[in-house]
Amino acid sequence: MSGLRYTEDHEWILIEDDDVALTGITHYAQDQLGELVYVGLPSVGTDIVQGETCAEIESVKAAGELKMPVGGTVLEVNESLVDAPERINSDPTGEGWVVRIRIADSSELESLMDEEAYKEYTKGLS
Amino acid sequence: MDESLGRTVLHDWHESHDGKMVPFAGWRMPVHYSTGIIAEHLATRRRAGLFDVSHMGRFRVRGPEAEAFLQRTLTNNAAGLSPLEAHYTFIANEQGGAVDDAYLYRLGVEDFLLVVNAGNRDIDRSWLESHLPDRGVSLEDESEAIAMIALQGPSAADVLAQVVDARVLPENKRNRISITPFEGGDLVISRTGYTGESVCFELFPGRSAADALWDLLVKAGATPAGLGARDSLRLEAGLPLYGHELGIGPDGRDIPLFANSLARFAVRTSKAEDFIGRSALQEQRSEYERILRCELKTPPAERRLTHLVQPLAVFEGRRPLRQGWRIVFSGEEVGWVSSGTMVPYPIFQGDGLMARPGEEHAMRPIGLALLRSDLQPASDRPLHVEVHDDRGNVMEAQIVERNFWPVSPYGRPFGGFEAPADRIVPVPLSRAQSAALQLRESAAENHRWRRIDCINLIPSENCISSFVEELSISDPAGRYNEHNHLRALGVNSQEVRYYKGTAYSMAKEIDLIAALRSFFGCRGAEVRVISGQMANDTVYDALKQFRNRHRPRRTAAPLRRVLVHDLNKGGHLSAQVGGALKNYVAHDPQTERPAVDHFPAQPDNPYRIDAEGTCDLIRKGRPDLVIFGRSVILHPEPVAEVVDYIHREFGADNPERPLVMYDGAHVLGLLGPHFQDPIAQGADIVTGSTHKTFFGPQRGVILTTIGPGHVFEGFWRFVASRTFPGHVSNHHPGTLLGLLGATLEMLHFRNEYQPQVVANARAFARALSEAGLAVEGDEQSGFTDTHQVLIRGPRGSGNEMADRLESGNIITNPQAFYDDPSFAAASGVRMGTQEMTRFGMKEADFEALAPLVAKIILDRNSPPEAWREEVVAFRRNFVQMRYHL
Repeated sequence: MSGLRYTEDHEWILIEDDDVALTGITHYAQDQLGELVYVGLPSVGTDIVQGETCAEIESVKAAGELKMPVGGTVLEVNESLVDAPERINSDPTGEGWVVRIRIADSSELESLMDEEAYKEYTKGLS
Repeated sequence: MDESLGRTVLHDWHESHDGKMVPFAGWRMPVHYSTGIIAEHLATRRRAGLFDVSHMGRFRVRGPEAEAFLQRTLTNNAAGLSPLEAHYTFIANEQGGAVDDAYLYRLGVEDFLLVVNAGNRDIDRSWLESHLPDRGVSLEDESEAIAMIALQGPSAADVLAQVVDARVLPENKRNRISITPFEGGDLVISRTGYTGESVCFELFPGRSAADALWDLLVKAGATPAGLGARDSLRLEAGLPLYGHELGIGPDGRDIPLFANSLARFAVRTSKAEDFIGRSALQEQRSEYERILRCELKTPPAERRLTHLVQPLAVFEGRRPLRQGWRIVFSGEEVGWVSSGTMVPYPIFQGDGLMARPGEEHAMRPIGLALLRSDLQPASDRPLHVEVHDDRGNVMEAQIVERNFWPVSPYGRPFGGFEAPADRIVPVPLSRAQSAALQLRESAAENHRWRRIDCINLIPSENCISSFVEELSISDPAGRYNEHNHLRALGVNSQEVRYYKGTAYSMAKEIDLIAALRSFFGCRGAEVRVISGQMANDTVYDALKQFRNRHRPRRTAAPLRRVLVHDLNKGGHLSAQVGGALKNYVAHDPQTERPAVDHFPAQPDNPYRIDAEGTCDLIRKGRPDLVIFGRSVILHPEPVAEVVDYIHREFGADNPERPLVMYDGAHVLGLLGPHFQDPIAQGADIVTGSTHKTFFGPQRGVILTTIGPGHVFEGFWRFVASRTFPGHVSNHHPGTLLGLLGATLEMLHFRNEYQPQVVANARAFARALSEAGLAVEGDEQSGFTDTHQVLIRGPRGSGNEMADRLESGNIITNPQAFYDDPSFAAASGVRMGTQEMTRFGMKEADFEALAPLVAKIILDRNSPPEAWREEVVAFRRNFVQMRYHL
């Protein structure tokens, strides 16, 4: 499986190597939240199940969160976001990645959307 | 998005300019533009933000009964508003909670505009309609017909002045209104807002003119800002929002209005007319006042005011606070966050009042909290609390006095609490001696610098001659000479002296009074006051005693009403409610504000009093006291006209007539035939400080035309008793002796010195104008009739101009003019010729100095220090004091 996959809650996930993946929030999500001022990151080593909150991502007006696209263990967090949460605004799927995880059960990936499906999905929201 | 949402007349502009449109209170509104909330917030604090607030509800209330109707339905005192004034108010329910909060604009005697929250428009309308009387009031919803645009921030006045004529802006004070034609209709301009900015406007154009006005304001440099910044700005300023700090609380009950400190000003105390919620609000007020005095012992849960709104700040942390989070103190839950956010604040550059916001910024979480009413922050220490979020996370926060200081022109973020001041540590004698030597040397160096290296142009200073200096530091400088007249000993008995060895001081004090009588032509003088400010304070105090002379055994009533110069039209603090007048003036029962009127200016010249308008004000207001004289003074004041009028209107011998005082602080040394003679013109009292244009050491005097048999004779006796023992015990007999010497000098040199000072000022003003500086005042009449010369630079540049001059060794002071928002935003520099005249400068010398002043201010290619040498060389020609004995 290649390329980004998406959840209905506007997270993306990128498989890097077998069961290791990067995740973050989508361009659509950052645009809805506005300029971000705070990112609350989880501790490395935490196990989190699919759909549970993994990080808090907040703007002046709104509090959002990153939910786990699939269940797994936090391997690494993007510490640079603590001082520069606006990186998520400028590059949500690149420099603005939030956590790197080890996927517990790859079959959970099947519930996610591909790029085209997500595009269709967000079109329906506005 | 829901098609049923309301769209303001500016909706399409927002949409086509990247407005992030969201539903808000039934409207489709921009929460921010592509600039973002943070930049929009900062643009408002640094320059000017522009907000479409047309979604707010606007009711027009008109008719002969309109005022009575608003008195009944609103908590503030609508009757206390004059046409073209506005105030914050509440629509209260019977329980003392908020139906809504609102702003009331009085456009005419029978014409009001009431602005309410968008989300409450329908509720408010039904509420108000249900209380409408049968006739005499029309209530119309004009929310569609009139748009509403807020323009807020330090540059707001400059931006607006590019769109409408600067002369039609409302007077430079909060809550003032003007109405001007714009695009074929009326444009209402109000000095109000919801950001905490001191320079603030709310604009009400007709619907069809709104687009044009908005476009022009954007072109003039205002930054469009959305509802996001509107909320973060109001929250930083600590202003309440319905649904958060007002309305129904989380327990489902009304939040009492007095939970908000603004209720102190927005709920009237007048006993006369009833209004909805009055009895509940009176109970809240009395509880509120007892809480502030720490007198209320009732447990918080049993109070009406269980919680009070307090600002909340987080100094260590980056997470925005959110409404609903719990506040915990010492393990107990003590309140909740009613509004929370994270605000940007500019990093200031420079120090003190003159610091300016730089381009860098930082962020911090802030909020408002409803905090249990037995917990109060003090101004010198924070109250540390914990905030618990909805997931159980805990963060440290502080309850603070405020999160934003509305210092004009640039408001500051609250930066924490004061550190205790340093103390001097005791040292051994040898080190104390060397420190003393250093102190002496540095003082001598400073003396030398000011006397031979600097050109001193501050109009409220002077130097004393060595003769006067010697007298001032001779033996009486360490003595007392308490004395007063005891009437019981007989009318002509000598004064009682309470110390021995003072015969010389006593005799010289009598000589001084005689010398002052010769110089000023007055009948009497009180010379024991040691400053001009004290002179004024003593007069107010004595007049209060006099007005209460028939009310023994009762608390003395304050002066009913006073007529003075407005602070921003040159008035001095010694005649302002914020200064020496504070304890002496009554509150106007109608407006519930200090009963102070201000001299009207001539329409074409803010530096001249409109005498006719003044007489009109005196006829209407019937003040106890009229105070002429100010610290920005270019022309004589119309003393004779006003005194004539008062004597005609009230009778010269009527002890209830206004007392006429001339505060001659600045011009004491110019009084007489060469400028103005207020004593001859009939002023009852002239006060002054003796060290500005007069040759004396730093003291004050009270001069009078009142003598035996005068209708104010009793008042003059109170002046003596309120001086001693009222204001002084030790009246500094040393400098009093010096003042005698100085008065002898003045008597001898008056006819040379006085005309020279004014001729120099006129020559200087003309030459400055020719050198390219804008000089205030009327060119036709030579700019000035006094020692003062005022120059104007770009808005807010006064301090920088004075700083440049100081770096070039020319000493002046920045001056805020009538159209400047505050001292810190001064646009000008004030100068005076008196001191350098005393050191021998003549017209030609001031004409030679003017281009140097202009170069230092205007030549931005060279540092001001570059001219210091030239200034020092110039000054060295004028180091010999003249006009001395």
